[in-house]
Amino acid sequence: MKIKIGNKVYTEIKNLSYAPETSIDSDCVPVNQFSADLITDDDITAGSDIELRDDLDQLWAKYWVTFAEHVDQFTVRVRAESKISILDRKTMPATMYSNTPVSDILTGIFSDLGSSSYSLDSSFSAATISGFMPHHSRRYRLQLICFVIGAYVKTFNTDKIEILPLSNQATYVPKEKTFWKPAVTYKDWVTAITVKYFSYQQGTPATGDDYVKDDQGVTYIQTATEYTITNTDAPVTAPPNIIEVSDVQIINAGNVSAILTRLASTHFGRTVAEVDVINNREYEPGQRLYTYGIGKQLVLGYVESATFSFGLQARSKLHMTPIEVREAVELTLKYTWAESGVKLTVLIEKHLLPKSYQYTIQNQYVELSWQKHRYVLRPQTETTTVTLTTDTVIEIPCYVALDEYNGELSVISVDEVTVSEGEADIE
Amino acid sequence: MIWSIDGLEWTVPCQVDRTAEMRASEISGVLLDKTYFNDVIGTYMSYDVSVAVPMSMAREYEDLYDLITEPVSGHTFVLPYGQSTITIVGRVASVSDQYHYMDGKRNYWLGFKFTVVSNHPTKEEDLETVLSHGVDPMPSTVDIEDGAAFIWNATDGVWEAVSDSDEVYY
Repeated sequence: MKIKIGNKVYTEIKNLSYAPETSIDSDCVPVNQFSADLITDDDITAGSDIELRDDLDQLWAKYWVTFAEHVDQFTVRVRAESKISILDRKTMPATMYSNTPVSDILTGIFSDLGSSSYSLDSSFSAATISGFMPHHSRRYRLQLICFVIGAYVKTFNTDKIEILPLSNQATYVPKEKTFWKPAVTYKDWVTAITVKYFSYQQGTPATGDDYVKDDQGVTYIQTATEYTITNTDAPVTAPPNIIEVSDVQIINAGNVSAILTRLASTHFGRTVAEVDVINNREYEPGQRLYTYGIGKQLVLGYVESATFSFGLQARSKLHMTPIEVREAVELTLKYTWAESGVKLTVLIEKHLLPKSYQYTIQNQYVELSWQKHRYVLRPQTETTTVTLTTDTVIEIPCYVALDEYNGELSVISVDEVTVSEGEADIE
Repeated sequence: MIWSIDGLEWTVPCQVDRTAEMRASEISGVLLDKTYFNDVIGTYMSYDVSVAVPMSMAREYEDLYDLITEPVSGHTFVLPYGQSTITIVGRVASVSDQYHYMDGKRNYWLGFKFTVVSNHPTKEEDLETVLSHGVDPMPSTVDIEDGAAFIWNATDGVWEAVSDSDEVYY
């Protein structure tokens, strides 16, 4: 790993600590940080931009230095944090929104950081907010908006603050990337979720009416309605444990159902997985993952946080929010290659996949040394899509894409080779 | 045998024990498929050197002893490696010798031994190679057709096109 401050790159780093997290539905957008001891006698000033990059120069985090001190003659300790914390410095006025585009509200939230500091996923281009927001910090307003539109804030593996949708597609973490052995714990059943939604009417409140007043002094009469969903999976003996969302005044009749459904999907499960994985940026907070649980089970959840350790590669402990546990079945992919009347099995790949769930796996190119040739074999189909109810073996025939013999490379069949910063991909 | 420390050469009889450690990072461990994930960060050399210093070089030996016992993070050593030598910046892990009172006029020290461990890997894998599972990068080509041929230039570490097609860049 390396750390870049201004134009200076530091490669002698000790005690690097990096544990990015995201918030699916908690109170506030987390301020992600990293800290490290740099072997240098440079004077590093707080406020500088700082980047954490790997040996391939891929960006892991772009934050700003909030603290730097010489711990000895040749060591400077730095702490950096995401610019989300700047959003705490200013507040936003009490405002009544009416079909206000999310993008317009974000312009106000990020006015100090500038429009290039963040991006809103295109799926939210038509998203609007209706309802009341009291006087509070910009960071809190950002979290409330994310909460009602089903978004999360990403401040890792990017140079921007990205506002992204919570995905419904799950990525599967294979055995060969998961360390022995995932920890599975069970939290208490959530027996029900109650969400209050609101409607507003401008006017003078009568005695007993709830009302709100925006910063312009305009008064609105507030009507609140409760909407409850119960957890049918929870046993009747489970003690009542109800999650209540009662103070988010931008929940309205139009979005309450989607919010409740989403909350149910992330709170009615009780199986919490914590898995250690080889993680060279593949898995990150906010992603929806299938990971191994106990026995032949897969645990589905969102990654809430990832605590990284670094060697040549990177490893991280993923803490997941529970969604559900699925019974799994084993899919065996047998990559085969027929040559001179002999069919060789060149690779066997095993996947544990959720039962009765459609899943698509990217088929691999296989490298094979055979009779002094070095081949790159290409699968006949790019992907395998399956919906399995029982253990299954599928054969994937391959053919030669590249043939290296005696230092000479012959291109037998490729669509194109694309090159990006020194890396090449065959397609 | 000749070895040197910080440019100071010693041509004296000695015995050298050489150890190579392929050091893995602490993120290594057993995976769910029961294979061991070995995150090797590099090969570090360690040399145990026992030197027979001739009595005629007692003064030079005292200088050497002062130099090698300096409390510094490392010295530059040239040490035997295969049929040649290797230059490493290494930390001196230990130095020992024995005092022999010989003639009542001078102190003689014999049995000089030291251990040096390289501070930097003498061989290391890079992340790109590890992530590509050891497969050499493909030709740096933006437009390639079936039937094109390349030759691997191991010296420069690049694929070179066999033909001079304008459509092939490398």
